Amino acid sequence: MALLEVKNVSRSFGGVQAVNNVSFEVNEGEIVGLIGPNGAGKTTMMNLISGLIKVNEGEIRFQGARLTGLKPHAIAHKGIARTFQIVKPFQGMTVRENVMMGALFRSDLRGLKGSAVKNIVDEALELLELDRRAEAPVEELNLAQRKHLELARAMAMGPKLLLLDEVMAGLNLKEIERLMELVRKLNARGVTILVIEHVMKAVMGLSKRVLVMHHGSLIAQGPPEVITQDPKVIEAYLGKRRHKGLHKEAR
Amino acid sequence: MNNSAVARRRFPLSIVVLLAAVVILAILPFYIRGYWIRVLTTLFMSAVLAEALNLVVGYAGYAAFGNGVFFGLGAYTTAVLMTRFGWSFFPAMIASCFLAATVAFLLGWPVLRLRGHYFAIATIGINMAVMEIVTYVGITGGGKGISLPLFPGDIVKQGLFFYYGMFILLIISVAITYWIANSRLGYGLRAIKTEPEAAEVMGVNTTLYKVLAWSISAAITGIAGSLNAYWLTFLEPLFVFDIMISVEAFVMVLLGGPATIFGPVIGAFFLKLLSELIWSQFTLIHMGVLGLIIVVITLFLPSGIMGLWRQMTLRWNKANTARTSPGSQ
Repeated sequence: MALLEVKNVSRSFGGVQAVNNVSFEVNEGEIVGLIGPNGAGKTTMMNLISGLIKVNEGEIRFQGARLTGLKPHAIAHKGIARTFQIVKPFQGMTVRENVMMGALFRSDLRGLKGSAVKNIVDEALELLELDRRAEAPVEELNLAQRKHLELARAMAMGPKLLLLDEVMAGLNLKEIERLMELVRKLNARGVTILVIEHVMKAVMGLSKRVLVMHHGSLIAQGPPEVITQDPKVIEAYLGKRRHKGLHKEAR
Repeated sequence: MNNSAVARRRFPLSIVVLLAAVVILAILPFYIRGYWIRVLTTLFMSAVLAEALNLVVGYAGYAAFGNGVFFGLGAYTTAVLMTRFGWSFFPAMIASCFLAATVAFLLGWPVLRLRGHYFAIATIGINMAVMEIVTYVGITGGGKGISLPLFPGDIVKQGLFFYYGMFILLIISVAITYWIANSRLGYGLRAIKTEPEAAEVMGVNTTLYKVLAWSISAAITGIAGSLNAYWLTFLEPLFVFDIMISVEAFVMVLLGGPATIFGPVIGAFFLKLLSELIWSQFTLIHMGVLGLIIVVITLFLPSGIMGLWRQMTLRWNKANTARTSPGSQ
Protein backbone atom coordinates (compact mmCIF):
# COMPACT_ATOMS: atom_id res chain seq x y z
CA MET A 1 0.00 0.00 0.00
CA ALA A 2 1.28 3.43 -0.95
CA LEU A 3 1.70 6.10 1.73
CA LEU A 4 -0.31 8.66 -0.23
CA GLU A 5 -2.92 7.73 -2.81
CA VAL A 6 -4.54 10.36 -5.00
CA LYS A 7 -7.46 8.86 -6.90
CA ASN A 8 -9.24 10.64 -9.77
CA VAL A 9 -9.11 13.99 -7.99
CA SER A 10 -10.70 17.03 -9.64
CA ARG A 11 -11.13 20.60 -8.54
CA SER A 12 -12.44 23.61 -10.44
CA PHE A 13 -12.66 27.31 -9.62
CA GLY A 14 -15.65 28.79 -11.40
CA GLY A 15 -15.17 27.62 -14.99
CA VAL A 16 -11.48 26.84 -14.65
CA GLN A 17 -10.56 23.20 -14.20
CA ALA A 18 -7.48 23.63 -11.96
CA VAL A 19 -7.01 19.92 -11.31
CA ASN A 20 -8.60 17.43 -13.69
CA ASN A 21 -8.97 13.74 -12.82
CA VAL A 22 -5.48 13.34 -11.40
CA SER A 23 -4.32 10.03 -9.93
CA PHE A 24 -0.91 9.14 -8.51
CA GLU A 25 0.74 7.45 -5.57
CA VAL A 26 3.66 8.30 -3.32
CA ASN A 27 5.41 5.38 -1.65
CA GLU A 28 7.00 5.41 1.76
CA GLY A 29 10.58 6.73 1.77
CA GLU A 30 10.43 8.27 -1.73
CA ILE A 31 11.25 11.75 -2.90
CA VAL A 32 8.77 12.48 -5.68
CA GLY A 33 8.94 15.58 -7.85
CA LEU A 34 5.86 17.37 -9.16
CA ILE A 35 6.62 19.69 -12.06
CA GLY A 36 4.73 21.57 -14.74
CA PRO A 37 4.54 25.00 -16.36
CA ASN A 38 2.95 27.95 -14.51
CA GLY A 39 -0.75 27.39 -13.91
CA ALA A 40 -0.48 23.63 -14.30
CA GLY A 41 -2.28 23.06 -10.98
CA LYS A 42 0.67 21.99 -8.84
CA THR A 43 -0.01 24.28 -5.89
CA THR A 44 -3.73 23.51 -6.09
CA MET A 45 -2.80 19.82 -5.84
CA MET A 46 -0.77 20.57 -2.73
CA ASN A 47 -3.62 22.60 -1.21
CA LEU A 48 -5.98 19.69 -1.90
CA ILE A 49 -3.69 17.24 -0.08
CA SER A 50 -3.19 19.50 2.93
CA GLY A 51 -6.92 20.28 3.04
CA LEU A 52 -6.78 24.05 2.52
CA ILE A 53 -8.96 23.54 -0.57
CA LYS A 54 -11.80 21.05 -0.78
CA VAL A 55 -11.79 18.26 -3.36
CA ASN A 56 -14.71 18.39 -5.85
CA GLU A 57 -14.44 14.80 -7.03
CA GLY A 58 -12.28 11.80 -6.25
CA GLU A 59 -10.49 11.01 -3.02
CA ILE A 60 -7.13 11.27 -1.29
CA ARG A 61 -5.94 8.56 1.09
CA PHE A 62 -3.06 8.62 3.54
CA GLN A 63 -1.84 5.33 5.07
CA GLY A 64 -5.06 3.82 3.77
CA ALA A 65 -7.35 6.31 5.57
CA ARG A 66 -9.45 8.91 3.77
CA LEU A 67 -8.22 12.51 4.01
CA THR A 68 -10.96 13.99 1.86
CA GLY A 69 -13.33 16.08 3.97
CA LEU A 70 -10.95 16.49 6.91
CA LYS A 71 -9.95 19.96 8.17
CA PRO A 72 -6.29 20.97 7.55
CA HIS A 73 -5.39 20.71 11.25
CA ALA A 74 -6.74 17.15 11.38
CA ILE A 75 -4.69 16.28 8.29
CA ALA A 76 -1.62 17.77 9.97
CA HIS A 77 -2.26 15.57 13.01
CA LYS A 78 -2.16 12.51 10.75
CA GLY A 79 1.48 13.31 9.90
CA ILE A 80 1.44 15.55 6.84
CA ALA A 81 3.47 18.76 7.01
CA ARG A 82 3.91 21.38 4.30
CA THR A 83 5.79 24.54 3.44
CA PHE A 84 4.45 27.51 1.51
CA GLN A 85 5.70 28.94 -1.76
CA ILE A 86 5.55 32.41 -0.22
CA VAL A 87 7.05 31.83 3.23
CA LYS A 88 4.68 32.39 6.13
CA PRO A 89 6.70 32.93 9.32
CA PHE A 90 4.72 33.88 12.45
CA GLN A 91 5.63 37.55 12.95
CA GLY A 92 6.29 38.78 16.45
CA MET A 93 7.79 35.46 17.53
CA THR A 94 11.40 34.33 17.74
CA VAL A 95 12.83 31.65 15.44
CA ARG A 96 12.61 29.18 18.33
CA GLU A 97 8.96 30.03 19.01
CA ASN A 98 8.16 29.56 15.33
CA VAL A 99 9.66 26.08 15.37
CA MET A 100 7.96 25.38 18.69
CA MET A 101 4.60 25.92 16.97
CA GLY A 102 5.31 22.74 15.04
CA ALA A 103 5.97 20.70 18.17
CA LEU A 104 3.23 22.20 20.39
CA PHE A 105 0.31 21.02 18.32
CA ARG A 106 1.48 17.48 17.54
CA SER A 107 -1.25 14.99 18.32
CA ASP A 108 1.31 12.50 19.67
CA LEU A 109 2.71 14.98 22.20
CA ARG A 110 -0.55 16.02 23.91
CA GLY A 111 0.01 16.21 27.64
CA LEU A 112 3.77 15.89 27.43
CA LYS A 113 5.86 18.39 29.35
CA GLY A 114 8.13 21.14 28.06
CA SER A 115 11.35 19.12 27.96
CA ALA A 116 10.04 16.79 25.24
CA VAL A 117 8.94 19.81 23.20
CA LYS A 118 12.29 21.53 23.80
CA ASN A 119 14.25 18.50 22.59
CA ILE A 120 12.24 18.31 19.39
CA VAL A 121 12.67 22.04 18.77
CA ASP A 122 16.43 21.92 19.42
CA GLU A 123 16.81 18.98 17.06
CA ALA A 124 14.83 20.67 14.28
CA LEU A 125 16.78 23.93 14.70
CA GLU A 126 20.08 22.08 14.49
CA LEU A 127 18.99 19.95 11.55
CA LEU A 128 18.09 23.02 9.51
CA GLU A 129 21.19 24.94 10.69
CA LEU A 130 19.18 27.60 12.53
CA ASP A 131 20.47 26.91 16.05
CA ARG A 132 22.63 30.04 16.04
CA ARG A 133 19.65 32.23 15.15
CA ALA A 134 17.24 30.53 17.57
CA GLU A 135 16.58 33.54 19.80
CA ALA A 136 16.44 36.10 16.97
CA PRO A 137 13.14 37.72 16.06
CA VAL A 138 11.88 36.01 12.91
CA GLU A 139 11.83 39.36 11.09
CA GLU A 140 15.65 39.38 11.09
CA LEU A 141 16.02 36.27 8.91
CA ASN A 142 16.93 36.50 5.22
CA LEU A 143 15.03 34.58 2.55
CA ALA A 144 17.24 31.48 2.62
CA GLN A 145 16.96 31.33 6.42
CA ARG A 146 13.20 31.79 6.20
CA LYS A 147 13.03 28.82 3.83
CA HIS A 148 15.05 26.81 6.34
CA LEU A 149 12.64 27.96 9.04
CA GLU A 150 9.66 26.66 7.03
CA LEU A 151 11.39 23.28 6.91
CA ALA A 152 12.37 23.35 10.60
CA ARG A 153 8.77 24.10 11.61
CA ALA A 154 7.54 21.27 9.43
CA MET A 155 10.13 18.85 10.84
CA ALA A 156 9.17 19.74 14.42
CA MET A 157 5.74 18.35 13.57
CA GLY A 158 7.34 14.94 13.19
CA PRO A 159 5.79 14.35 9.77
CA LYS A 160 5.63 11.13 7.78
CA LEU A 161 4.99 13.05 4.58
CA LEU A 162 6.45 16.45 3.79
CA LEU A 163 5.04 18.61 1.00
CA LEU A 164 7.52 21.18 -0.29
CA ASP A 165 6.03 23.99 -2.37
CA GLU A 166 8.85 25.64 -4.35
CA VAL A 167 11.32 25.90 -1.49
CA MET A 168 14.13 26.73 -3.91
CA ALA A 169 12.41 29.72 -5.53
CA GLY A 170 14.37 32.94 -5.12
CA LEU A 171 17.55 31.28 -3.81
CA ASN A 172 20.98 31.52 -5.42
CA LEU A 173 22.92 28.51 -6.70
CA LYS A 174 24.92 28.00 -3.53
CA GLU A 175 21.81 28.22 -1.34
CA ILE A 176 19.98 25.78 -3.61
CA GLU A 177 22.78 23.21 -3.32
CA ARG A 178 22.83 23.55 0.46
CA LEU A 179 19.05 23.17 0.69
CA MET A 180 19.10 20.13 -1.64
CA GLU A 181 21.62 18.52 0.71
CA LEU A 182 19.28 19.21 3.65
CA VAL A 183 16.23 17.82 1.85
CA ARG A 184 18.18 14.60 1.20
CA LYS A 185 19.10 14.53 4.89
CA LEU A 186 15.44 14.83 5.92
CA ASN A 187 14.57 12.03 3.52
CA ALA A 188 17.34 9.85 4.98
CA ARG A 189 15.61 10.28 8.36
CA GLY A 190 12.60 8.46 6.97
CA VAL A 191 10.45 11.37 5.82
CA THR A 192 8.67 10.84 2.51
CA ILE A 193 8.81 14.00 0.42
CA LEU A 194 6.72 15.43 -2.41
CA VAL A 195 8.43 18.44 -4.02
CA ILE A 196 6.89 20.99 -6.32
CA GLU A 197 9.71 22.76 -8.03
CA HIS A 198 10.48 25.13 -10.87
CA VAL A 199 14.23 24.83 -10.42
CA MET A 200 14.82 21.83 -12.70
CA LYS A 201 18.29 21.14 -11.37
CA ALA A 202 16.83 20.67 -7.89
CA VAL A 203 13.84 18.55 -8.79
CA MET A 204 15.79 16.32 -11.19
CA GLY A 205 18.65 15.94 -8.73
CA LEU A 206 16.43 15.10 -5.77
CA SER A 207 13.66 12.89 -7.11
CA LYS A 208 13.85 9.34 -8.35
CA ARG A 209 10.39 9.76 -9.81
CA VAL A 210 8.82 12.83 -11.39
CA LEU A 211 5.14 13.65 -12.04
CA VAL A 212 4.34 16.18 -14.76
CA MET A 213 1.15 18.26 -14.71
CA HIS A 214 -0.14 20.45 -17.52
CA HIS A 215 -3.45 22.34 -17.67
CA GLY A 216 -4.63 20.49 -14.55
CA SER A 217 -3.94 16.99 -15.86
CA LEU A 218 -1.18 14.56 -15.14
CA ILE A 219 0.53 14.05 -18.53
CA ALA A 220 3.54 11.93 -17.62
CA GLN A 221 5.37 10.23 -14.78
CA GLY A 222 8.62 8.34 -14.48
CA PRO A 223 12.33 8.67 -13.70
CA PRO A 224 13.84 12.12 -14.45
CA GLU A 225 15.92 10.89 -17.41
CA VAL A 226 12.85 9.43 -19.11
CA ILE A 227 10.65 12.44 -18.34
CA THR A 228 13.04 14.93 -19.93
CA GLN A 229 12.90 12.97 -23.20
CA ASP A 230 9.09 12.60 -23.21
CA PRO A 231 7.69 14.54 -26.24
CA LYS A 232 4.49 15.42 -24.32
CA VAL A 233 6.54 17.03 -21.55
CA ILE A 234 8.75 18.95 -23.97
CA GLU A 235 5.62 20.15 -25.75
CA ALA A 236 4.05 21.30 -22.47
CA TYR A 237 7.11 23.35 -21.57
CA LEU A 238 8.18 24.63 -24.98
CA GLY A 239 5.07 24.50 -27.17
CA LYS A 240 4.42 22.59 -30.39
CA ARG A 241 6.22 24.65 -33.01
CA ARG A 242 9.35 25.07 -30.98
CA HIS A 243 9.30 21.35 -30.36
CA LYS A 244 9.30 20.60 -34.12
CA GLY A 245 12.17 23.01 -34.55
CA LEU A 246 14.14 21.19 -31.92
CA HIS A 247 13.47 17.95 -33.70
CA LYS A 248 14.90 19.26 -36.96
CA GLU A 249 17.99 20.56 -35.25
CA ALA A 250 18.51 17.19 -33.63
CA ARG A 251 18.48 15.52 -37.02
CA MET B 1 10.24 40.01 19.89
CA ASN B 2 9.51 38.09 23.09
CA ASN B 3 13.06 37.80 24.31
CA SER B 4 12.69 35.14 26.97
CA ALA B 5 16.23 35.56 28.32
CA VAL B 6 15.61 39.24 29.02
CA ALA B 7 12.21 38.45 30.51
CA ARG B 8 13.73 35.88 32.86
CA ARG B 9 16.34 38.35 34.09
CA ARG B 10 13.68 40.98 34.76
CA PHE B 11 11.31 38.49 36.34
CA PRO B 12 12.14 39.13 40.04
CA LEU B 13 11.91 42.91 39.70
CA SER B 14 8.59 42.83 37.89
CA ILE B 15 7.21 40.44 40.50
CA VAL B 16 8.22 42.83 43.29
CA VAL B 17 6.61 45.79 41.52
CA LEU B 18 3.48 43.75 40.88
CA LEU B 19 3.14 42.57 44.47
CA ALA B 20 3.70 46.10 45.75
CA ALA B 21 0.97 47.41 43.45
CA VAL B 22 -1.45 44.70 44.58
CA VAL B 23 -0.76 45.34 48.27
CA ILE B 24 -1.08 49.12 47.88
CA LEU B 25 -4.37 48.82 46.01
CA ALA B 26 -5.64 46.29 48.56
CA ILE B 27 -5.09 48.57 51.57
CA LEU B 28 -5.80 51.85 49.80
CA PRO B 29 -9.57 51.98 50.64
CA PHE B 30 -8.69 52.50 54.32
CA TYR B 31 -6.91 55.73 53.48
CA ILE B 32 -9.02 57.35 50.75
CA ARG B 33 -12.45 58.96 50.56
CA GLY B 34 -15.61 57.63 48.92
CA TYR B 35 -15.08 59.63 45.74
CA TRP B 36 -11.66 58.10 45.02
CA ILE B 37 -12.93 54.64 45.89
CA ARG B 38 -15.57 55.09 43.21
CA VAL B 39 -13.00 56.37 40.72
CA LEU B 40 -10.73 53.37 41.33
CA THR B 41 -13.66 50.95 41.11
CA THR B 42 -14.54 52.33 37.65
CA LEU B 43 -10.89 52.18 36.75
CA PHE B 44 -10.65 48.49 37.71
CA MET B 45 -13.76 47.82 35.66
CA SER B 46 -12.29 49.52 32.59
CA ALA B 47 -9.08 47.57 33.04
CA VAL B 48 -11.08 44.31 33.22
CA LEU B 49 -12.95 45.18 30.01
CA ALA B 50 -9.68 46.08 28.26
CA GLU B 51 -7.94 42.94 29.51
CA ALA B 52 -10.84 40.79 28.26
CA LEU B 53 -10.89 42.56 24.90
CA ASN B 54 -7.12 42.05 24.62
CA LEU B 55 -7.64 38.29 24.31
CA VAL B 56 -9.56 38.76 21.08
CA VAL B 57 -8.00 41.96 19.73
CA GLY B 58 -4.42 41.59 20.97
CA TYR B 59 -3.80 37.88 20.85
CA ALA B 60 -6.12 36.57 18.10
CA GLY B 61 -6.04 39.81 16.10
CA TYR B 62 -9.81 40.10 15.66
CA ALA B 63 -11.26 43.61 16.00
CA ALA B 64 -14.23 42.85 18.27
CA PHE B 65 -15.66 46.35 18.21
CA GLY B 66 -18.97 45.24 19.69
CA ASN B 67 -17.54 43.32 22.65
CA GLY B 68 -19.59 45.59 24.93
CA VAL B 69 -22.59 43.43 24.07
CA PHE B 70 -21.42 40.93 26.70
CA PHE B 71 -21.18 43.73 29.25
CA GLY B 72 -24.82 44.57 28.56
CA LEU B 73 -25.88 40.94 28.52
CA GLY B 74 -24.18 40.31 31.86
CA ALA B 75 -25.79 43.40 33.37
CA TYR B 76 -29.28 42.55 32.14
CA THR B 77 -29.07 38.87 33.08
CA THR B 78 -28.21 39.85 36.65
CA ALA B 79 -30.91 42.52 36.73
CA VAL B 80 -33.66 40.23 35.43
CA LEU B 81 -32.69 37.29 37.64
CA MET B 82 -32.50 39.43 40.80
CA THR B 83 -35.54 41.63 40.17
CA ARG B 84 -37.97 39.28 38.45
CA PHE B 85 -36.92 35.93 39.91
CA GLY B 86 -35.61 36.96 43.30
CA TRP B 87 -32.14 35.43 42.88
CA SER B 88 -29.37 36.62 45.15
CA PHE B 89 -26.37 38.35 43.60
CA PHE B 90 -23.70 35.66 43.36
CA PRO B 91 -25.80 33.00 41.60
CA ALA B 92 -27.03 35.73 39.24
CA MET B 93 -23.44 36.77 38.55
CA ILE B 94 -22.40 33.22 37.72
CA ALA B 95 -25.43 32.83 35.44
CA SER B 96 -24.49 36.10 33.69
CA CYS B 97 -20.98 34.81 33.13
CA PHE B 98 -22.25 31.57 31.62
CA LEU B 99 -24.83 33.27 29.44
CA ALA B 100 -22.28 35.70 27.98
CA ALA B 101 -19.80 32.88 27.32
CA THR B 102 -22.48 30.70 25.72
CA VAL B 103 -23.67 33.49 23.42
CA ALA B 104 -20.07 34.13 22.32
CA PHE B 105 -19.48 30.43 21.82
CA LEU B 106 -22.57 29.99 19.62
CA LEU B 107 -22.11 33.22 17.64
CA GLY B 108 -18.38 32.63 17.32
CA TRP B 109 -18.65 29.69 14.91
CA PRO B 110 -20.32 31.69 12.12
CA VAL B 111 -18.98 35.17 12.94
CA LEU B 112 -15.29 34.36 13.52
CA ARG B 113 -15.06 33.03 9.98
CA LEU B 114 -15.26 36.65 8.85
CA ARG B 115 -11.98 38.48 8.45
CA GLY B 116 -10.88 42.03 9.20
CA HIS B 117 -13.48 44.76 8.84
CA TYR B 118 -16.30 42.28 8.27
CA PHE B 119 -15.83 40.78 11.72
CA ALA B 120 -15.67 44.23 13.32
CA ILE B 121 -18.90 45.27 11.61
CA ALA B 122 -20.61 41.97 12.51
CA THR B 123 -19.84 42.45 16.21
CA ILE B 124 -21.21 46.00 16.11
CA GLY B 125 -24.32 44.57 14.46
CA ILE B 126 -24.69 41.99 17.23
CA ASN B 127 -24.38 44.73 19.84
CA MET B 128 -27.12 46.77 18.14
CA ALA B 129 -29.39 43.77 17.61
CA VAL B 130 -29.17 42.62 21.23
CA MET B 131 -29.81 46.18 22.43
CA GLU B 132 -32.97 46.33 20.31
CA ILE B 133 -34.15 42.96 21.62
CA VAL B 134 -33.59 44.05 25.22
CA THR B 135 -35.44 47.30 24.53
CA TYR B 136 -38.54 45.59 23.12
CA VAL B 137 -38.83 42.56 25.40
CA GLY B 138 -41.14 43.02 28.40
CA ILE B 139 -39.16 41.10 31.01
CA THR B 140 -36.19 43.49 30.82
CA GLY B 141 -38.32 46.56 31.52
CA GLY B 142 -37.68 47.75 27.95
CA GLY B 143 -36.59 51.28 27.17
CA LYS B 144 -37.77 52.55 30.58
CA GLY B 145 -34.99 50.59 32.24
CA ILE B 146 -34.93 48.23 35.21
CA SER B 147 -34.13 48.72 38.91
CA LEU B 148 -32.14 46.20 40.92
CA PRO B 149 -32.44 45.45 44.62
CA LEU B 150 -30.22 47.71 46.69
CA PHE B 151 -27.02 46.39 48.24
CA PRO B 152 -27.75 45.47 51.88
CA GLY B 153 -25.62 47.52 54.25
CA ASP B 154 -24.45 51.12 54.55
CA ILE B 155 -22.80 53.19 51.86
CA VAL B 156 -19.24 52.54 53.12
CA LYS B 157 -19.73 48.79 53.05
CA GLN B 158 -21.28 49.06 49.61
CA GLY B 159 -18.30 51.05 48.31
CA LEU B 160 -15.84 48.49 49.69
CA PHE B 161 -17.81 45.53 48.30
CA PHE B 162 -17.66 46.84 44.74
CA TYR B 163 -14.09 48.09 45.09
CA TYR B 164 -12.85 44.65 46.13
CA GLY B 165 -15.22 42.89 43.73
CA MET B 166 -13.79 44.70 40.72
CA PHE B 167 -10.25 44.44 42.11
CA ILE B 168 -10.48 40.65 42.46
CA LEU B 169 -12.04 40.38 39.00
CA LEU B 170 -9.12 42.37 37.60
CA ILE B 171 -6.59 40.07 39.28
CA ILE B 172 -8.45 37.03 37.93
CA SER B 173 -8.55 38.43 34.38
CA VAL B 174 -4.81 39.23 34.49
CA ALA B 175 -4.13 35.70 35.80
CA ILE B 176 -6.22 34.19 33.00
CA THR B 177 -4.34 36.28 30.42
CA TYR B 178 -1.01 35.17 31.91
CA TRP B 179 -2.09 31.54 31.75
CA ILE B 180 -3.32 31.86 28.15
CA ALA B 181 -0.20 33.73 26.99
CA ASN B 182 1.99 30.86 28.17
CA SER B 183 -0.23 28.05 26.97
CA ARG B 184 -0.91 26.28 23.71
CA LEU B 185 -3.98 28.50 23.31
CA GLY B 186 -1.85 31.67 23.46
CA TYR B 187 0.70 30.45 20.94
CA GLY B 188 -2.09 29.25 18.66
CA LEU B 189 -3.81 32.65 18.83
CA ARG B 190 -0.61 34.58 18.09
CA ALA B 191 0.00 32.32 15.10
CA ILE B 192 -3.59 32.82 13.88
CA LYS B 193 -3.08 36.58 14.13
CA THR B 194 -0.28 36.69 11.55
CA GLU B 195 -0.58 33.53 9.41
CA PRO B 196 -3.89 31.71 9.89
CA GLU B 197 -3.26 29.27 7.01
CA ALA B 198 0.17 28.28 8.28
CA ALA B 199 -1.26 27.86 11.79
CA GLU B 200 -4.00 25.59 10.47
CA VAL B 201 -1.67 23.28 8.52
CA MET B 202 0.58 23.07 11.58
CA GLY B 203 -2.25 21.46 13.51
CA VAL B 204 -3.97 24.43 15.15
CA ASN B 205 -7.74 24.10 15.19
CA THR B 206 -8.06 27.78 14.29
CA THR B 207 -11.84 28.11 14.46
CA LEU B 208 -12.02 26.39 17.86
CA TYR B 209 -9.19 28.52 19.27
CA LYS B 210 -10.78 31.77 18.13
CA VAL B 211 -14.15 30.72 19.55
CA LEU B 212 -12.52 29.76 22.88
CA ALA B 213 -10.71 33.09 23.11
CA TRP B 214 -13.89 35.03 22.40
CA SER B 215 -15.90 32.95 24.91
CA ILE B 216 -13.35 33.53 27.70
CA SER B 217 -13.34 37.23 26.82
CA ALA B 218 -17.16 37.28 26.93
CA ALA B 219 -17.26 35.46 30.28
CA ILE B 220 -15.00 38.05 31.94
CA THR B 221 -16.88 40.95 30.30
CA GLY B 222 -20.19 39.43 31.43
CA ILE B 223 -19.08 39.32 35.10
CA ALA B 224 -17.95 42.95 34.86
CA GLY B 225 -21.38 43.87 33.50
CA SER B 226 -23.08 41.93 36.28
CA LEU B 227 -21.08 43.64 39.05
CA ASN B 228 -21.64 47.01 37.42
CA ALA B 229 -25.41 46.44 37.27
CA TYR B 230 -25.61 45.62 40.99
CA TRP B 231 -23.47 48.66 41.72
CA LEU B 232 -25.55 51.10 39.64
CA THR B 233 -28.90 49.53 40.70
CA PHE B 234 -30.53 50.96 37.57
CA LEU B 235 -30.04 49.89 33.95
CA GLU B 236 -31.07 51.29 30.61
CA PRO B 237 -30.35 49.56 27.27
CA LEU B 238 -28.83 52.72 25.78
CA PHE B 239 -26.40 52.93 28.68
CA VAL B 240 -25.06 49.37 29.04
CA PHE B 241 -25.02 48.62 25.31
CA ASP B 242 -23.28 51.90 24.50
CA ILE B 243 -20.73 51.30 21.72
CA MET B 244 -18.40 53.74 23.52
CA ILE B 245 -17.77 51.07 26.19
CA SER B 246 -16.12 48.92 23.52
CA VAL B 247 -14.35 51.83 21.86
CA GLU B 248 -12.85 53.00 25.17
CA ALA B 249 -11.63 49.48 25.98
CA PHE B 250 -10.16 49.30 22.48
CA VAL B 251 -8.20 52.52 23.02
CA MET B 252 -6.89 51.17 26.34
CA VAL B 253 -5.67 47.97 24.66
CA LEU B 254 -3.93 49.89 21.87
CA LEU B 255 -2.49 52.46 24.23
CA GLY B 256 -1.13 49.94 26.73
CA GLY B 257 0.08 47.38 24.20
CA PRO B 258 -1.94 44.65 22.49
CA ALA B 259 -0.97 41.01 23.13
CA THR B 260 0.81 41.87 26.37
CA ILE B 261 -0.29 40.72 29.82
CA PHE B 262 -0.27 44.09 31.61
CA GLY B 263 -0.59 46.43 28.63
CA PRO B 264 -4.38 46.83 28.77
CA VAL B 265 -4.27 47.45 32.54
CA ILE B 266 -1.61 50.12 32.09
CA GLY B 267 -3.61 51.62 29.22
CA ALA B 268 -6.73 51.71 31.39
CA PHE B 269 -4.95 53.38 34.33
CA PHE B 270 -3.31 55.89 32.04
CA LEU B 271 -6.47 56.87 30.17
CA LYS B 272 -8.81 56.84 33.17
CA LEU B 273 -6.56 58.78 35.51
CA LEU B 274 -5.83 61.27 32.77
CA SER B 275 -9.50 61.81 32.10
CA GLU B 276 -10.28 61.98 35.81
CA LEU B 277 -7.51 64.43 36.66
CA ILE B 278 -7.49 66.73 33.67
CA TRP B 279 -10.67 66.90 31.71
CA SER B 280 -13.43 65.45 33.88
CA GLN B 281 -15.17 68.83 33.73
CA PHE B 282 -15.14 69.09 29.96
CA THR B 283 -17.38 66.22 28.89
CA LEU B 284 -17.57 67.39 25.29
CA ILE B 285 -13.83 67.78 24.80
CA HIS B 286 -13.36 64.34 26.40
CA MET B 287 -14.46 62.63 23.18
CA GLY B 288 -12.19 64.84 21.10
CA VAL B 289 -9.17 63.97 23.23
CA LEU B 290 -10.05 60.27 23.02
CA GLY B 291 -10.07 60.56 19.23
CA LEU B 292 -6.78 62.42 19.27
CA ILE B 293 -5.18 59.70 21.40
CA ILE B 294 -6.36 57.02 18.92
CA VAL B 295 -4.74 58.93 16.05
CA VAL B 296 -1.49 59.48 17.95
CA ILE B 297 -1.22 55.82 19.00
CA THR B 298 -1.85 54.40 15.55
CA LEU B 299 0.66 56.81 14.01
CA PHE B 300 3.47 56.74 16.55
CA LEU B 301 2.94 53.91 19.03
CA PRO B 302 1.74 50.83 17.13
CA SER B 303 2.69 48.48 19.97
CA GLY B 304 1.62 50.76 22.81
CA ILE B 305 3.32 51.75 26.05
CA MET B 306 4.54 48.17 26.61
CA GLY B 307 6.14 48.14 23.16
CA LEU B 308 7.90 51.43 23.89
CA TRP B 309 9.08 50.08 27.26
CA ARG B 310 10.38 46.87 25.66
CA GLN B 311 12.27 48.80 22.99
CA MET B 312 13.88 50.97 25.65
CA THR B 313 14.94 48.03 27.84
CA LEU B 314 16.30 46.17 24.80
CA ARG B 315 18.38 49.17 23.82
CA TRP B 316 19.51 49.64 27.42
CA ASN B 317 20.47 45.95 27.70
CA LYS B 318 22.40 46.08 24.43
CA ALA B 319 24.31 49.17 25.52
CA ASN B 320 24.98 47.53 28.88
CA THR B 321 26.35 44.25 27.50
CA ALA B 322 28.48 46.18 25.00
CA ARG B 323 29.98 48.18 27.85
CA THR B 324 30.62 45.27 30.23
CA SER B 325 31.92 42.74 27.70
CA PRO B 326 33.31 44.40 24.59
CA GLY B 327 34.80 41.11 23.32
CA SER B 328 31.56 39.14 23.07
CA GLN B 329 28.89 39.80 20.44
